[in-house]
Amino acid sequence: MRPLAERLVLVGELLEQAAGRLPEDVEARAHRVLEHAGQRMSFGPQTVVALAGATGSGKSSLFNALSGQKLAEVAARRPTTSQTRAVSFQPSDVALLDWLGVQRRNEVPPPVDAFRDVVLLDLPDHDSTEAAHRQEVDKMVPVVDQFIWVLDPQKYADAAVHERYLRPLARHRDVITVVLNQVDRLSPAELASCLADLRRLLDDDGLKGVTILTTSALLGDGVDELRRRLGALATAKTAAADRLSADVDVLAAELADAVSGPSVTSPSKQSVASLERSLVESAGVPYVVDAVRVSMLHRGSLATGWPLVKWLGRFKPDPLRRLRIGSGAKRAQLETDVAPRSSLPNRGHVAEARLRTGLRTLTTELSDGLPQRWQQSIHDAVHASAPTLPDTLDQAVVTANLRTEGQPVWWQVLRVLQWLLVAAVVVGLGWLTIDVALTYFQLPRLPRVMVADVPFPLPTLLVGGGLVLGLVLSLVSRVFVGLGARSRARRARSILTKRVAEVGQREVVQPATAELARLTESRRLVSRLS
Amino acid sequence: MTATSQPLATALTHLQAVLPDAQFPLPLEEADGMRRLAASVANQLRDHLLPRALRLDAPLLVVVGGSTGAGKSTLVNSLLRARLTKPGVLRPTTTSPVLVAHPDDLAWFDSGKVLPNLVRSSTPVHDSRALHVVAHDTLPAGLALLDAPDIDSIDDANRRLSRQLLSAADLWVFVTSAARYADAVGWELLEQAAARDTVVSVVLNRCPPEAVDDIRSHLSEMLNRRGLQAARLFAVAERELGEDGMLPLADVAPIRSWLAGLAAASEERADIALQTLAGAVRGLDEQLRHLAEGTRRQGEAVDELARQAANQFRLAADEVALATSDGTMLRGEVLSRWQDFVGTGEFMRNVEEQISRVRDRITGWFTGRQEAEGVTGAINDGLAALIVEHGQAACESAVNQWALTSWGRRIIDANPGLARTTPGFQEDATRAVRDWQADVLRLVEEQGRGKRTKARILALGTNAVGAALIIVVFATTGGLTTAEVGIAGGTSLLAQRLLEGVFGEDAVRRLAQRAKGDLDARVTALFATQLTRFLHITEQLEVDTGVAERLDAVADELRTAGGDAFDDLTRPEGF
Repeated sequence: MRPLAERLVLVGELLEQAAGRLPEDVEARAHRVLEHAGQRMSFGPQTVVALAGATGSGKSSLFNALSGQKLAEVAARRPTTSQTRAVSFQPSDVALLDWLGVQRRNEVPPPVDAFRDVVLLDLPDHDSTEAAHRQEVDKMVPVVDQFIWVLDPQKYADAAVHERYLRPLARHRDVITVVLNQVDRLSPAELASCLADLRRLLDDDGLKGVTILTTSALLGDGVDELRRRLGALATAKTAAADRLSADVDVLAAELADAVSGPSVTSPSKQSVASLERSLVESAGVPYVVDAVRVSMLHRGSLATGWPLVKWLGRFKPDPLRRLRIGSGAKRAQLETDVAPRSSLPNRGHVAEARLRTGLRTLTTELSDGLPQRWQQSIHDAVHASAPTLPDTLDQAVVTANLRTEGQPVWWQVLRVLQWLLVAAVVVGLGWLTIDVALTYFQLPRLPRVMVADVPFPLPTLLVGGGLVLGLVLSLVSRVFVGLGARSRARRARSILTKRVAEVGQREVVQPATAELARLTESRRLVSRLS
Repeated sequence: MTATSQPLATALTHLQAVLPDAQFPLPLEEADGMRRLAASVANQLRDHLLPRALRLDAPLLVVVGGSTGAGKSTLVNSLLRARLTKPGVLRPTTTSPVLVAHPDDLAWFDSGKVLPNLVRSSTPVHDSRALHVVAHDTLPAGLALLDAPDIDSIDDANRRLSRQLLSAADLWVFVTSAARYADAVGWELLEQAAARDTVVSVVLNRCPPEAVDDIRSHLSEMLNRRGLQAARLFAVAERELGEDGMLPLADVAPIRSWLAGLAAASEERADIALQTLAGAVRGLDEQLRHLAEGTRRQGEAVDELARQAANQFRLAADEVALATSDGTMLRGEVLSRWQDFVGTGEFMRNVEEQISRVRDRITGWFTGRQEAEGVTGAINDGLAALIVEHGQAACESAVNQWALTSWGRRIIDANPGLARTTPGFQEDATRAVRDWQADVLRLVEEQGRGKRTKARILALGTNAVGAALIIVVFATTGGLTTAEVGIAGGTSLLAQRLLEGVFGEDAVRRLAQRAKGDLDARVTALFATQLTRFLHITEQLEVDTGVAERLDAVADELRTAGGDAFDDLTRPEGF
């Protein structure tokens, strides 16, 4: 067992790690234990011993017998003692008694030397009709260092003391002494069977091995032995720490429950992959990829198409421009500091549903079997950025450089070629026109130029060839533009998928993993605590 | 037997029939208390009220009860001058209660009319479910003494039995001691007795001789304060017991003569029995109203749980209905499939004129069937995802609603899988969507019975027309085509025109409405499979909502019968 101070530090660290993730009552109790222990340890080394028990068991008589003075009132009328009375055997530690909340204080010379560091308390009863007495006992039970439960032959088996006090104090058995008082009323045989019965009841309460002493406050039997025991405790000066340590034991058991469950340190590959799929869907990536394909097709045919008809294409919109996507962050930042939103249509219900399912699946995987508060905290961590996620995803898409702006060299070459062909057609047409004009005015025609082996004259060849070649070239290039568009679309998909996955990692997976790390650390602290 | 006690006995019999139905299965904060109350009323009814109402002149049952170690057994022995019960130093001493009666009265106590759930035994046994019956002729006839177990013993069964026996008593002899007389447990019971008007007498036993007067006056002060001034108080000083283990005769003589007096005056005896009976019946009224209120609250709480769960699933179904009608389903995948299917259509400013071109194009693609399946496939995926998500969300929020109450949390803890949909839900959703699409196709075929229409459908392909209908359904809010349609690239407008070209405008609207209604019904049915898990739990609680009325009715009957029976009751002197 670690020393108390070290265990308290552990509790403090745990409270920091697991703040808001423990059941409220447990967390409050842990804070109380810490605070209480700090206060108790700041007082002097005195040992606070409380005499507790039922009305008529002889607490006050025993109190008087132990202190050697007639301090407490002893009477036949029940209940007698209504307020806690303290006796110190040296000048009172006022701060300690204030903290204990004891008003009636006495100082007497110690009956034995070892008693100097004892503060003896006579508590009221816990079982009479006076509810205030019970409250006073309940108030003192958490603060004293050592309990002496005073039982008597008439009342030792009362449910009131066993169920309400002794059972809940089972983990405090090291700081409990049970005294069977009024033994003068029993014959030796009766006493033996009574003690055996009491031992059995205490074992049932979970107080195995607790010290049982017998006294007769009336005759003074057993008082010396009880004094010796208390004196030894006071001299050892460990009673306060032992009691607080027992408090920590109780707390540790509750904390162990509060961090129980299967140990998961990171989400599985499958659930991260399925989350990423849903994010890709919800970010509208398929939509953008399709736009890239259509756009590239469009731009390609504008660049390489047949110049005679391609101008018609200008009337078609360019989907990427319309979406304001694809130029990457640089251009966007030239215009404004803030990256603009895309003009992607608002996410549909389906995309939203897929996103929520993705987050839910992840939460379920990570939090299954954990205590409720941890389930909640993991849920919160996974969903922390859910409201801003659509915007973050949109930014990731808008600022992605999809490399759609540049034009391939072959587009330029084809464009020149196409214009050359147009020029050939124009030249051919001009030639023929001049020929026609010359013929009309019955002037000699231009010399007939033939290209080797071709049955058509050159101008006709220019016009016909230019037209046919241009058309064929535009058709052929269309195929290649299509292929290029598809590959650009693929590239865009992989770029966007990567960016979206990064968002998923940063906004969802990392917070969740951090929460799991917190749980693991809390478990480590709790295991060191016990 | 007095004539007036017959209606009372009848009313009590009615109560006995109703009581077992007053169940408190839902762990409301008060449920434990209610269950205990119902059990104690049932005990009291069986052990005391019914036998006493049936026979007012039956022997008086005097129960000697009190705290552990107060010396009950010694007192009983000393009163009878015979060692009939075994006192001892170990607590609790009395385990099986001992009933001492005059031989003449033995038949009544052996008959099982009183305390019928305790097994009669002629020898002492260590069993809290047995009653050791002893015949003894020192005791006058018409009176029986019952030595009950301790009221504050650590043994639960003992403690419960002591309370059961006390509630069966015509007369309480409450034994306490100098160390005990201020114990809270005893006074709780005494206060109940005072409230119920039970006839009580208190014996202050084991009193130090020098303090007898002091304690006696204190105790009688306490009795007065709590409305028990009528209780007869005896004080017995603590002394060395005689060799026979009994108190000296002189010390118990006052108690003996008082008991003898009771036994001799049969009228006084009857008065005591009647007073305790009347008090118990009067006390019953409040208890029964309380129980009725409790069962009513059980019913309300169960209804509330069921309502909350049903509400969440209705909201989810509503959301799915909205999502499938505001046009947003048509985005992304569905849209691009549809555009692949019919071409972009961007040039078609007036589709009506070009419907033939569309048709040509569609038939020209011929593989149109597969393309149509592309559209329906995309819809299938999206719709299933939507339904699954809303189903899961509904399970989760229903659980969250239940978790707001402590009893709801108990139910959730007992049914850990409640927050999740059943494992096959995903498949069920997909199947429901596919079934719906099959319905839509059937709808199209049914509508296309006419020759002309049939020809048009055949020209386009049934699947294509079905896909178009689905598109129209998703774009239709309350029969109107939304603005969203325009944004979706004329998608649904085109589909609408296409369908109108085939069926005519009215028929399209009707078809779309039927298909949508069909989808909503399927979604609701699917969610119902999940809701059933919640409702099953609330039904299994088996809260009988009629019990409250029946309890109230019995209480009314008892009030009337009791009023009639006890009208002429005058409190006997000295009690």
